[in-house]
Amino acid sequence: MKRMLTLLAALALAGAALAQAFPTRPITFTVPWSPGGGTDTASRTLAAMLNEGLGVTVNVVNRTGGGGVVGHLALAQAQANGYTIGAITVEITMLPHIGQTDLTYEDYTPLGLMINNPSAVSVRADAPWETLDELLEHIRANPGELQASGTAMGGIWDLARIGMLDVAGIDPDAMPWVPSQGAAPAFQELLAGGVDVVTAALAEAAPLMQAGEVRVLGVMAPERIGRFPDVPTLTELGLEWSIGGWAGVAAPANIPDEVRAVLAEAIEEAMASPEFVDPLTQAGFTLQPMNADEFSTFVQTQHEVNGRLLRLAGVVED
Amino acid sequence: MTELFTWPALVALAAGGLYGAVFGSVPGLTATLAVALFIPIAFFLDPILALPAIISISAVAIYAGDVGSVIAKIPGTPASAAYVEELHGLSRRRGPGYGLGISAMGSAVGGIIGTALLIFSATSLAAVAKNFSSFEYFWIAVLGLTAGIFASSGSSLKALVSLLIGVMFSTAGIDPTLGYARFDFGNPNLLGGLNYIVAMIGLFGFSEVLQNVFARGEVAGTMPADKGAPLRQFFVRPVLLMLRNKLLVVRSSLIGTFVGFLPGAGADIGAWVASSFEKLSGRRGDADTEEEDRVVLAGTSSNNAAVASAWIPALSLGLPGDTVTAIVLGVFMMKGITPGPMLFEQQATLVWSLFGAFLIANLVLLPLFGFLTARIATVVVRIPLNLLLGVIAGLCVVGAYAINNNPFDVFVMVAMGVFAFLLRIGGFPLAQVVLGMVLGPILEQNFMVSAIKSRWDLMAFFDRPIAIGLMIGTVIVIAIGVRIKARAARA
Repeated sequence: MKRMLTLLAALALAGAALAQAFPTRPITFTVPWSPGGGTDTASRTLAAMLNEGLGVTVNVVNRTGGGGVVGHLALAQAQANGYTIGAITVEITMLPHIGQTDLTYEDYTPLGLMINNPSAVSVRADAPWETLDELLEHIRANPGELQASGTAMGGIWDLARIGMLDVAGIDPDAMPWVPSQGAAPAFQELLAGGVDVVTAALAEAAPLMQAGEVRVLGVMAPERIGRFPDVPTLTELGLEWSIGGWAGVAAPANIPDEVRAVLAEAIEEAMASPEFVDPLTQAGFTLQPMNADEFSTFVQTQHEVNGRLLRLAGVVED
Repeated sequence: MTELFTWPALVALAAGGLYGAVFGSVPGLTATLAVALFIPIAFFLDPILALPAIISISAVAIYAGDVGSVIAKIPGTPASAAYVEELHGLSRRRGPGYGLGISAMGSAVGGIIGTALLIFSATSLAAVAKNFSSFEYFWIAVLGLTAGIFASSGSSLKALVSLLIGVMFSTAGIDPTLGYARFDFGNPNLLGGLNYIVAMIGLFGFSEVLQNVFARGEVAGTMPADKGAPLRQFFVRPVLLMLRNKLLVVRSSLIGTFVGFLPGAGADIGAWVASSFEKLSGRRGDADTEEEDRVVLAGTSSNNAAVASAWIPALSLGLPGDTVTAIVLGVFMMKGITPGPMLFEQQATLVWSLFGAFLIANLVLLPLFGFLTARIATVVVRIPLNLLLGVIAGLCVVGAYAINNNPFDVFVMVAMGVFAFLLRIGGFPLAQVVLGMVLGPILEQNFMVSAIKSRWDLMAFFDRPIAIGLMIGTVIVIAIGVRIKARAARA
């Protein structure tokens, strides 16, 4: 009997310890994009910080494919116990509108926003337009003459083009989109003279800008980017328009509140540390740290905004 | 360059090479993955340590892709798939040490020629790369596919069928230009298409297992041990072979360099073009027993030349040609290094250490790790085949899973293996299926982009000088190919 009591007491203690101390075993961190990309780099840097903050190993696992659907699905379907967290990206607010997945932001518990890379407007270094106004004037005067590229049709950088032209009061068809496999092939086309404008992340344009191959006319962000103080924002140029490709951290929907609190706190702390901020900022990323609550509001707004833009793009029919 | 001759730098180079050797040898672990997993470490290292390490990782990993081809006919990287049949065949005849010797020595020379062009003409070559738009890429894909039809030992018709099957496989998944889902059967795993590395593992590795299990009485048996001393097999004979085929080595390295510096083409396609070229121009009659050796030499020297030349657009334009150089540009940004023509003047010390690292990786590390892996391979192939087959099947499963950590890929790998087993029975070549899967998306994407850009004026495909040159090249390949095949049929 005495032995039985000891056992019970031990079990009770263990149970209490379990309940108190999340996490007690390694955490899996899923990434819906391939190793080496922006989301992967930010995720791996954050995971390294979380190792220390949470006191358990955080393993980064890339689940690529399907334009991000596979990895987003894997996270949404994981057990909602906090031992699987992962990156969610801007695509989760776009794909459901296109009908490529039933997943929406509501299938996740948002925990924090890591990076939000604003789009830039880039032209060849020998292009005749010195300012964004001159470029927009040219598009207005010669609709359909210039072509832009940056990613697939209806991708985030296509939305950047549509939003910018829309805010400027120009029909998006006045500068049609040439689809590409991503920002790098689009810049190759720009240099080869195949297209005239690239709307894609400022971080992707930066090496080419420094090498003197492209001229960046503006960045679609609310404020100037610290590393590129000479690049004006669209807001300064009179266009209230900002857009970026973002990546945040989330868990599956309906994780226990106390687990959410532990994770949210650890992530907020990790994202504030210089070991996270410095290497990523220097690598050209634009950090926009948001805590769990701010990020929840953010994804909801993004879902609505991107849905509207996709309808404007004609990718989604009403 | 003196920064490179410090202990930490040399250790970083050597450790990078060893790490690359492991990643290259295991099917499913690619050079790109090796470099990507290295990023968090690279962020905290001095660039003078991090960049040479990245160089030795990628140079050695591309060579080590041949280790799996020799042991089990499973290419470790897509760049090795172009000549896997030949490499495995000649290793069976003359010993694995000799096979890997050709591979390592050819890689080393190819790498050095690629580096030389990187050193002396980076800026002018980059100017050429700048002129490549979607029209030129379209014609390159056409040229590559055309060469693939004739570059097979058997019937061109069967090669064409294999090629078309590969192209057809590549159409599954979200269409690259307009974003429609194709052949996904409602399964999100198929939205991303069929991964050609997964397919490659099934086509070559798993079908080999099936072949040996079901082909009763015709089991290939264990590989013969190397004849002669290991050093002679690994170093002397391959070097003699290269001396007999100097022109071939130079030509293949130049092809590799040329394809490698085009952003988005890279080592995989470089190896295909160079070895197809050799297969086309070869066939000097039955007395010629060195044909396989030459094909391997062509492929292996061109893929390492491409590794070096992929840095040309990255260094001089700031334009990443592949994932590895995209990561390199990330390191540049982080350390405040500006790419562009001025890089060669402003950062002369750094640039020269990079060149030095390429030379050391190719001259010292490749032969060293190559010899090491060859010794290990010699032991491995002596394991009885029935035991080895189990290990190969296991490696196929692990490799297919490792690429995306997705169990679905394991099923794709097995299905591809069964399919390849059937193709083998029918005498259809397998390498062409992979070629179709690699070039299919490039062909489709660049056709669509060109058509949209020119507002469906198809004459635009014949407007640009380089595009016309590539088109004429395609016609010449068809002419030569048809003539050779006709002559072979008469003989």
